[in-house]
Amino acid sequence: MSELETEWLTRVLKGDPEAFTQLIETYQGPVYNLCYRMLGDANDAEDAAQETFLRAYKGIRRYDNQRSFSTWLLSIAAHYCIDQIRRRRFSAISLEETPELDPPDLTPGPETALLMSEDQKRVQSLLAVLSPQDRAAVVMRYWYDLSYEEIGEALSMSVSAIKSRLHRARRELAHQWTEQGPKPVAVERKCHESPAF
Amino acid sequence: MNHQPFETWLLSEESLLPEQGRALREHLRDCEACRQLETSWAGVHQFLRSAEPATPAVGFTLRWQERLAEQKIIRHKRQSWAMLFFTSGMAMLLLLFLGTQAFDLLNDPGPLLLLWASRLVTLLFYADATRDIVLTLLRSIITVVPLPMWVLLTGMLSILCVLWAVAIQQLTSARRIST
Repeated sequence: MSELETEWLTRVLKGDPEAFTQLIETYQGPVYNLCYRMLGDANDAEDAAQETFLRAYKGIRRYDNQRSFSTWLLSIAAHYCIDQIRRRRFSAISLEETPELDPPDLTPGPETALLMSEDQKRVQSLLAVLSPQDRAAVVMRYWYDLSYEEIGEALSMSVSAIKSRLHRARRELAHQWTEQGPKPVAVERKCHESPAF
Repeated sequence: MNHQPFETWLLSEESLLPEQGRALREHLRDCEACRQLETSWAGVHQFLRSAEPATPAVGFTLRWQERLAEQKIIRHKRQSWAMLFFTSGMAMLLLLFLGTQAFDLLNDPGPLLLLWASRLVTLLFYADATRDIVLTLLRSIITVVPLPMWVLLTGMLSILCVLWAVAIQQLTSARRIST
């Protein structure tokens, strides 16, 4: 965390709400990207990212400044998204159990489909095979280059559980990739050169 | 064919020992499934690494500020409704109590009026007795405590009052996000 961000945090803790908007400006991208990768819908991602910052603002006094602020924020976002996915599944099951109602149309609309590039669609279809926790771990690992310890801290899991989840996720992603067929890809980012931060 | 530990090694991000690397290469020469897994994971890895992050629409912070303001309004409304329900409930209880009293009074006012009068007299008697006690105490304290002690006590009391006022002011200062 930079000195400027530390200063903003100190100001927020002293009761200066303007400083928090500076933190939102800095971290809106990573938080939104995590929510988008988790939920797969722009509107839901916007809603989740907004809610993440609201929860962070309300609970800022619980933030331990010995931890990374970005990891803390991503932790709030990941837990919120995992809850949303569980609720979505629950409501989908409830709808299926009600014969009078039509099942929800989960296919994207024409505008959304046009806006979504081929690459983004492929990323989402790959991530869709993973469980919410595995998806969060993969996004944190491959977009934000977080260490196993940081991911474990963010998702409230042990390092060995994270290693095991990532191993399983890699295998599932590889199988899904095989099923979808190969595709030429762009130049790889350098290690520790996360575009999100 | 047994694919362990080769599958684990292929998907591991930790570097392998030289003998593990040799064993893996030998296994890959003969195992089509593991070769496929290696190719697929390499493709996924490169694809994830090259995928651009999604970005929110312009004006995210402004929308957040609006949302925060909306939530504050909703919270204030909820608190107002809760207060209204509480005061209404209390008023209803009071009315019920007064109603029963009025009913008793209208039916047979004599004993109730006598009871109230006796209570009033008792209250006045207690008030008079308390005043006498307090006055006696004050007279004795004034003679016992010296003047500098009185000055000191008054000073300390003033400081406590100032501290109390500052604390109240600090606690009630508004936390607001200007848009």
